[in-house]
Amino acid sequence: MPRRVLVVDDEPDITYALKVGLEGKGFLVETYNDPTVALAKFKPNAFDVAILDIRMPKMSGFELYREMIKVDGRTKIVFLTAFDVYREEFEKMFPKVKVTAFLKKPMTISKLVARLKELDN
Amino acid sequence: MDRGNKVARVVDGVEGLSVRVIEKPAESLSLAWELVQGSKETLLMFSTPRAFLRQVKAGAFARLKSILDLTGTSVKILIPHDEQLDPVLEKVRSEAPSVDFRVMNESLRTKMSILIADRKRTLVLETRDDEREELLEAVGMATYTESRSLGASYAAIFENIWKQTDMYDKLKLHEKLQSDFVNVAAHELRTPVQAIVAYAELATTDVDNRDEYYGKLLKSVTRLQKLTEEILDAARIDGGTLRLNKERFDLKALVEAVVDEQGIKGNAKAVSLVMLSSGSLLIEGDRGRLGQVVANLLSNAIKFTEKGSITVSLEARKRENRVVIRVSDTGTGIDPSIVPRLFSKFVVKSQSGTGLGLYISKNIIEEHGGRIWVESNVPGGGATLAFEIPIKQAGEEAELEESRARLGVA
Repeated sequence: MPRRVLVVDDEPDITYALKVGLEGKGFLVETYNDPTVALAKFKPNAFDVAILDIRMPKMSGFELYREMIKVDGRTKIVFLTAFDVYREEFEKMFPKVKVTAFLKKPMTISKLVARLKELDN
Repeated sequence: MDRGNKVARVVDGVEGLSVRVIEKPAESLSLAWELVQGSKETLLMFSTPRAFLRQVKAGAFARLKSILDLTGTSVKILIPHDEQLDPVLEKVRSEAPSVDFRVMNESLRTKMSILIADRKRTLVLETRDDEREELLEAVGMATYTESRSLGASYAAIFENIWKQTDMYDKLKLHEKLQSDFVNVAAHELRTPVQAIVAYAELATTDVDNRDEYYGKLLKSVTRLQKLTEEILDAARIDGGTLRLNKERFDLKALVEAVVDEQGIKGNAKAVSLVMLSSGSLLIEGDRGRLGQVVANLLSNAIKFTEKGSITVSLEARKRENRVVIRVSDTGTGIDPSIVPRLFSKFVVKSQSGTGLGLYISKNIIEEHGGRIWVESNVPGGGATLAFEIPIKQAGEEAELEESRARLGVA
């Protein structure tokens, strides 16, 4: 089961809720509201999974992801977005990007935990 | 010849006698070129997008361009819409800039391409097999007539469709805006809902910290409510049902109240407010709606100003029967590329917000018989937005000439 979780979302209310919620379930959580700061602090082998928002100022979740895999290609990526994104379209647009999951907001913390646990399977 | 006679002649087929049937595609296509070359004006309506693409492939537009360069003839071309058409058309347009192309609704696909030369010679080419790649294999029979009445009728049909393409383009744009709006609105609505779902869950599982979660819930619910109102307002404006609830009130007091309220919100971002004001200004208008406009301008200014100051000024020009309100900031300024469309729907550059606030504000001000504009904009140095509305029956108490409210950002 992934334990170390990175959360990047420009909404402080959302990152705070996910941090409190996931920490309550035994995860180690680091959060950022500014994707450029998240990238600057991103180190290899620091996280098991990264939960990324897509629509963010300065840098989109996709761009952030592209830069992150240059630093560490092993971190599992989950996009948590309020957009209607379809996996098929995404894979057409970014054929080389391997995304573990697309999760759609709104999502309860318990459901998110369940999805994170599934990642190992 | 009077009109009755003319119709009778067409019906009787007197002119119809001059219709020639051409069976060989090579012959009809070569006649088409002769017509283009020998006329001052050519109108051409393609049967299908593929009929146009076959001509592109056959090099017709290079040939057409060389004819136009020599003769200066005018050529208008209509093509039924197809998604694959756009890139090709863009290329052809740049290669033959003197040709006027328009795309018409895809429902106007037919089995006939029509070429009208000088509104009197008409060549109708049948598209026998639209699946074919080769021009000569796709074209079937053709008819050619020099009947002026037929030529004029075809030209009238052509002109009608030509005019409709403008509407068609507008419709396409509208559809795109509509679907963009649904995407943006869905995103914006789900964001506070995500926070609500998460904090509601935390409030039930982590009872010790319940009060904190309730506070966060209230904040997100308020945001969701504001967003819902914006979307409803935009729908009301589009449906023409935005109504003003007019009353006589003190605009000065209203602006002060909004500045106070926004100042409290601004404090969360360490914005401090200083008010310098006196007197009152009675106007007739919708207090709630005008307050909404000032709040919108002010909250935008706060949003885009990290340091420096925000100034709200109110200037009554009684002799001109109008009052001007300005909101200036020293923030990031407005991206120049969006300034011309700033008051349109869904114009967003900030990655947050629905792009409805200024659209709604503009409509509220215009409903009051006023106008709203960008007075100055320095990218990186701040912006001033202003609006004016008529004072109308200004009361005796309205003696205020000018007053200012100044906000300083700590």
